[in-house]
Amino acid sequence: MEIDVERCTGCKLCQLVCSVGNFGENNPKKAGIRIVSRLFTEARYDVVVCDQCGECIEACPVDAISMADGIVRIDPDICTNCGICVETCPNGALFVHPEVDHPIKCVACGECARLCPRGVLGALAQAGEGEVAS
Amino acid sequence: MYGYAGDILRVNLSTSAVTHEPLSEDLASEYIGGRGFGAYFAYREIPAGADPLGPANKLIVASGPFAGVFLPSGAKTSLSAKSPATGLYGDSNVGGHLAGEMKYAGFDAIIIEGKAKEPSYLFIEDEKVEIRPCGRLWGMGAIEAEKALKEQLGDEFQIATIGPAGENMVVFASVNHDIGRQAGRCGMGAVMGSKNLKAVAIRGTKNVPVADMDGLRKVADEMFTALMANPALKAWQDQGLAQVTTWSNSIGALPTRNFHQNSYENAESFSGERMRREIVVRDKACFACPMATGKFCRASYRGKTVYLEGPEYETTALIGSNCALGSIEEVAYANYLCDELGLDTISAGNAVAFAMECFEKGIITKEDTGGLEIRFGSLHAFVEVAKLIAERKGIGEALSGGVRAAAAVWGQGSEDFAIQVKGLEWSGYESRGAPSMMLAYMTCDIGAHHNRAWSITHDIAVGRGVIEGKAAKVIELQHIRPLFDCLGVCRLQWVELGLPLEYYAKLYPAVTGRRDSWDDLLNKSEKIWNLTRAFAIRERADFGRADDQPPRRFLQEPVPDGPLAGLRITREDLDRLLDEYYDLRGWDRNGRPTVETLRRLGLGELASELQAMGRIS
Amino acid sequence: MKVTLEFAKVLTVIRPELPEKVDLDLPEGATLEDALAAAGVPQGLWGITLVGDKVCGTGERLSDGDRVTVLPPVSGG
Repeated sequence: MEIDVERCTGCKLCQLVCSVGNFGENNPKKAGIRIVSRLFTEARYDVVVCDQCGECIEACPVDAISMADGIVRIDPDICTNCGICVETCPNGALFVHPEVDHPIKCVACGECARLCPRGVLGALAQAGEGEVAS
Repeated sequence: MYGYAGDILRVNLSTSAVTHEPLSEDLASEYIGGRGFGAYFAYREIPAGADPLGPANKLIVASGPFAGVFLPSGAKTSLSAKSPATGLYGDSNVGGHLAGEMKYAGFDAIIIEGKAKEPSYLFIEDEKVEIRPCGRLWGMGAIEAEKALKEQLGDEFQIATIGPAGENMVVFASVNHDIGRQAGRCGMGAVMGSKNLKAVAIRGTKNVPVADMDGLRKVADEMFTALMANPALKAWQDQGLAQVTTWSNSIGALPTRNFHQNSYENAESFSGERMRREIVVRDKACFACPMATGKFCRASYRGKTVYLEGPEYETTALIGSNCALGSIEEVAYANYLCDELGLDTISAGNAVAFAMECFEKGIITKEDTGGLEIRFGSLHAFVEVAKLIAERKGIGEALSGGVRAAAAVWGQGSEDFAIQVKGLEWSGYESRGAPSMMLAYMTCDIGAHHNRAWSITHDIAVGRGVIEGKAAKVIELQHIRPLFDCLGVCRLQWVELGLPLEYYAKLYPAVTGRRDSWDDLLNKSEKIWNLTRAFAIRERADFGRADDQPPRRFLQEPVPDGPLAGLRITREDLDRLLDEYYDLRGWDRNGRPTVETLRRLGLGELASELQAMGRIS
Repeated sequence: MKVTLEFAKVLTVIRPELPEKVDLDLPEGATLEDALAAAGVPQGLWGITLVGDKVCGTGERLSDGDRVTVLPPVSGG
């Protein structure tokens, strides 16, 4: 998946949009994407978001994670919030929030990509069709 | 309460007491947030006559209802206190990512009182609030300390720090955040230093509830879409505020050689294009902002390569042309140095330029400077003097009190070219040819700063020589622009990209659930304006018209060259501007609000207090 | 040659007599500065200028059919 991280300005609008779209909250920590500042050491930002690789599916001990139409989803009714998938994810793209009883991940709804001022997240826009998580 | 986190955090560093106070609906609706909260608590809680650098002063860190919420650039935090630069109410705001983080942690404002027994930092992670010893951070540069704390606590913490200048209580010490964003003005860094407070680190995980999420999403979406379609956006993303330099030079507003001139023969080397080409590494934005005016840059000086955010226009104006430096890279290095030392670049540029002029005129000599040649054009001189200021050594001791204080020490007529109002150094627009802008600087409540009203294009549009009617424009802007600082949102999307104010008027009920119209909010902004004026009047029996004066240079010396050669402002013009301004505000001719005016604005209690003191009638 | 100048809304607020859009007929080789003068915009009241989508200085030579966007000077941050 192509993410043009070179263009990222670190504004974190994507994190905010994700929490608004998926949780109805103004709460960038409750989001399936993270912008990490590497300015101090590498003069750039990193975008951390799920690339739907599916490694977490195998790792989940209760089969709460599955893939459909190329999108990996966690079933919150099955998930025990054990955290194994969070540890397993090669991109560090599953996020824990104290108020949510399962890890939060990107379901490619495309909202963040639509509003990203720099078109950094173009690939996410193509992946989803305006669908948001439960 | 919608649009707010709902709590105020009070931290007493002397007693280590940490308390939460619910934000009252009255306070929120009447003073909105940010600067409004700052002014409210400063007036109520900082006793008249308090030493700005003593434990009785309080630092109020506050944001407003728009901060951290889904809309363009709800990113502004105001820091307010009694200013050590002016001895009056002072505030300074900073962008970046602090405002939202504070609200996500659950706080609309943090009131910091007293003085810690040892150098400390304030740690906040949601409900967990701790005053921690800062150990080896004390003595570090402001950015260096931020980096160290990020490494220790994690990137999700948003951090504000001071540098050595703040520790040493230089009256124009800044508070630094997000590498290169500063609450630069009014010496808020010195207030932190006086409290033994090196840093504040915050992380929050909570929601900021809003009254009408669907309504908000609709308006915010329109705003983001309009911004993205704006033809000017690309220019802003490309050059940020650096694009001002060439324009400012072309119209005779660029401070040059300690405001002796207002155009600079070398301005082209500071242009936005040159900056982009020569030093910019990456664009850097504040929270949820499409403009990304921050420019992350690289600069080298004497074999040392540094990274910094900036320089933006004010820094280029006050350090670049005002000290007559040679290239944007030189300005960038000086900018980096000020950021690390924790010096406001506007006041530092003024202070060094003032020292340069004093040296060239023989008011200070090599005996005073330890052999250093402090001449216009020398980056070496800038670097050495800036360090002396931060350490308060040699000539830095006098300069660390600001140019007004240094002129009082050095004398010999230097007060005529100490470019300040009320003790705060003048920012980036020389205004001998722009009467409304001159009035804006004279009457700005915190001293000579442009953020409250900026009206040079008004002077150009209606005529530079025109005086009548200009006070009304300044007053209008003095209510609109600070309102953004109350709301906790950046005003650049409106003021620079022309995003209509109607959007902000629609956001307010969607976020807060209150029915205030934009005019209602402007009335509250006027009330806050009068409250900070009242702070000054309560503070000093002799405060008044004499405090609203520009330095004598602008009256005595016509502009020597450039597009406005020969222009100066006359005493008659200044008096007409002030008379008109005071009359329109409902203040007496000595610049004091009347009892009637304060009552009209809902400040009746305060009016009675000041009347009983014999300060107003 | 025919050139169109469009003034950003912020600019028309500062200077109400400016139209939002003006079509000019200019001699070959005219520059952006000539176009601004022909449209009667006083110096100091324009900021960044774009020809098409490209940011250009006022010395830029214009071509037939160019669309010029005139933005206001910055407003002091």
